[in-house]
Amino acid sequence: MLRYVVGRGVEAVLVVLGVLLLVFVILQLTGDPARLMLPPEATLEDIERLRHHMGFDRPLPVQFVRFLGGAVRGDFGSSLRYRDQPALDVVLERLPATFELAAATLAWSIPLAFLLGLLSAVRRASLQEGAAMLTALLGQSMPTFWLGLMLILVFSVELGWLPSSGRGSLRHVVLPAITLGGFFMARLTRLVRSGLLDVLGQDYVRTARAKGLGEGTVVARHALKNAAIPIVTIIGLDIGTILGGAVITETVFAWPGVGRLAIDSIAVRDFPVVQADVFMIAVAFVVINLSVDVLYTWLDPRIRLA
Amino acid sequence: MLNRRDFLRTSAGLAAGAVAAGRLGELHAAGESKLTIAYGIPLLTLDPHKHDNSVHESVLRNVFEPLLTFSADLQKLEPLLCSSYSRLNDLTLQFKLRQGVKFHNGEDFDAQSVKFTVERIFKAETQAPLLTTYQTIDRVDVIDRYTVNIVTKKPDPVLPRRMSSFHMNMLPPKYYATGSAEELARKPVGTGHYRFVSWQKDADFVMEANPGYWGPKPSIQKVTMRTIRETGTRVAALLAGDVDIATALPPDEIDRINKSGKARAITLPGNRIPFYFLNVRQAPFNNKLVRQALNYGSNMDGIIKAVLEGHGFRRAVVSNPWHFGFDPTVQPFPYDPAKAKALLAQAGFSTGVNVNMHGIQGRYPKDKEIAEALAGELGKVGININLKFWEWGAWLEAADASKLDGLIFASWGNAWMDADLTYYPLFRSGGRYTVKWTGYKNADLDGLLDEARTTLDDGKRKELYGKVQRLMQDDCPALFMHALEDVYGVSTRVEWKPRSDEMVRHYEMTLKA
Repeated sequence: MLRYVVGRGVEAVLVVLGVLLLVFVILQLTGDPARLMLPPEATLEDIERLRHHMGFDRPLPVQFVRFLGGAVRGDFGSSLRYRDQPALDVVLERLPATFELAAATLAWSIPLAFLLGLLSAVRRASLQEGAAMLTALLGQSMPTFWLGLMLILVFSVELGWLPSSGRGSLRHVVLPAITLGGFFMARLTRLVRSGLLDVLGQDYVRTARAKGLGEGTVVARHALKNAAIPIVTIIGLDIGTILGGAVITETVFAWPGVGRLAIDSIAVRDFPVVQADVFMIAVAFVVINLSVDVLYTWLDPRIRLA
Repeated sequence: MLNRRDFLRTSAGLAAGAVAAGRLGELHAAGESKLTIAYGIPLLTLDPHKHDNSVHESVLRNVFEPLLTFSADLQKLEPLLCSSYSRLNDLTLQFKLRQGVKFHNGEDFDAQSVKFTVERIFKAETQAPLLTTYQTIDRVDVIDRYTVNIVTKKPDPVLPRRMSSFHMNMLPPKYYATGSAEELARKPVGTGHYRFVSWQKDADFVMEANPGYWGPKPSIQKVTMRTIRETGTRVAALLAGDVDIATALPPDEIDRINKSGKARAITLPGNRIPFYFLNVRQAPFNNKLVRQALNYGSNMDGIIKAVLEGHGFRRAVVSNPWHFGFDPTVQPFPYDPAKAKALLAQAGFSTGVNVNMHGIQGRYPKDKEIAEALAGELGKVGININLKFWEWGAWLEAADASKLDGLIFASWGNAWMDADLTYYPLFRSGGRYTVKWTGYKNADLDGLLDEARTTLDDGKRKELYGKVQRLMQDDCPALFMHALEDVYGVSTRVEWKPRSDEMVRHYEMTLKA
């Protein structure tokens, strides 16, 4: 058991290092940040001055050593866009907003997905199944962008119940969380349903029923636990996506999270922030996947021995 | 449909608790006058020496003040932190400073503040992004506590305008000399109508009325500048009453706002002028006749009417009427396809020419559609356009590497409202654009621009820029287009009159009772 967890931990560190190297190399291929930092009104002298100040006129290997040396100490250098501000801080100060949105999203979408998935698996060919599947279809097929704007139009502009954008009170997070979670909820619903349907047809479920267990116990203890591995895997991956990839939702609702920051930083080649941002997201992904791996061992004892 | 309704109802239920809680909080704060303004571009730093765009300047100008400021019609300069100024000689401008002005942190504003501010721009560690603009300044001499001389290396007619904005916002020396760069980027301290309260990146910048302001105090107590990138959301926020003013809206939204009954759209000519540079290194644009044919055949008025639905302002060259040196006798090219064809034939291209056109998309209203319409119109007169669209960063990089031929998109703002800061950097040989982008060089033009740059007599300068604009039109180093339209959405509860300089002055706003 311990060896399994330690092994996974070492792998995780290697993955993060690998990501850092990859990001540095890819960013070097994307072009010159100095000219993007300045408006068209800047002269070539202005651009050259900035390039020198930022160290982009030094040889690549020198830049790379500087980058790695800093990165291991958590120092990604100063942001180019946000002048004078450490890149890691620029990312870290967005994390509360990102976590808040992710938590609100998961808080409604996971329970609802389990509820709808269970209902539609257990009550096959019923009105409930139809309703649940229709909800899932809608959730998966509505583009995030469109859903967000529609929610704003209905609940902010027409009804005036909720704020249209920005972050502040609890009310601000409601519409973004619904928008961001719609797709996630729908996909998870389908997964719970198909996983359960699969398991409910197995021999051991028939055995459980045959020995007289109630349907609730059968579903909760025998079926759900056995169907859980793919579901937990997908939830783990999706949490990573929700943390780093909420770009559209963040843009529509003017939510100050890390997803939009990454896109903006890439657009102007703000290397330090992109590196810090990718680093944070990679760490989040790795930590979540590590937790999922550990969770497997509880769900399926055979994995501990592997 | 039932499911969609259910879905909405579920979300509504989810929200109900939170709504009740939030409303109580709002009632509590109803006592003070508040206003929220939505911008589409985020703030990156609050250090007035380190930003480089008009959104930063617009927000910061409520916290800081320069020595001089433009009158409401943008035609002349008026004293702000000085009581008067005069030219002592060709190289020296003397400012008598306003007395009794205090910075928000309690420091006194005096001659040392001016000296410190100007000198800070030149320090290597400041990394002022548009430093070149200020390099005519030689030194600042403090004469007495409230008198200061600014001395230039050569006679500089634009110096008073340079003292009016962009980086010339006056700073308290103690605070800006001792604070860490990071702190100064986050906490601005000036003399302005409003003082800094808080800032969260990509979200809200909050300022409150400065109780110790030296002049008439602003009527609105608290102003929030909110970053909302998505245009649709900016308009929705305005119509929902979440924000009171939405800036930088596309003309398409004007009707929707005016019909809402909750807000109105205020439109006015903008300061920014898009155009296309012509790369004159290669054929066919090394031939003046082809360049002229291009301008006769572009049908720009028709494009403004059809594509922009009238929301653009035709410009003869690259000057707006409120710019110093603007010559109203220089009229835009008429649409004359016959003349365009004749000029092409005269240049030896009677069967037409094929050229590349490098456009961008998504930065200015309808930029892509305008480029496509231009390609269509020019094709009719025999200038066959091969249209390519670029990502902003890739476009700058390719142009700076001299890799673009034919027509190259460009756009120009001019914060000092002076012809020098348009024609010199764009068309004087030896600059970024002529060296790297276009290869344009005209000795007559260079002579006129050099003379105008060091001529202190306003009448003489105007004459020189009149000549510059006529030369522009004759030699056609560009395809001339139009100025953008600025569109503001303003809540019916706010009284405010915007200007063409993109500066949003919170202290000129009032709330209706």
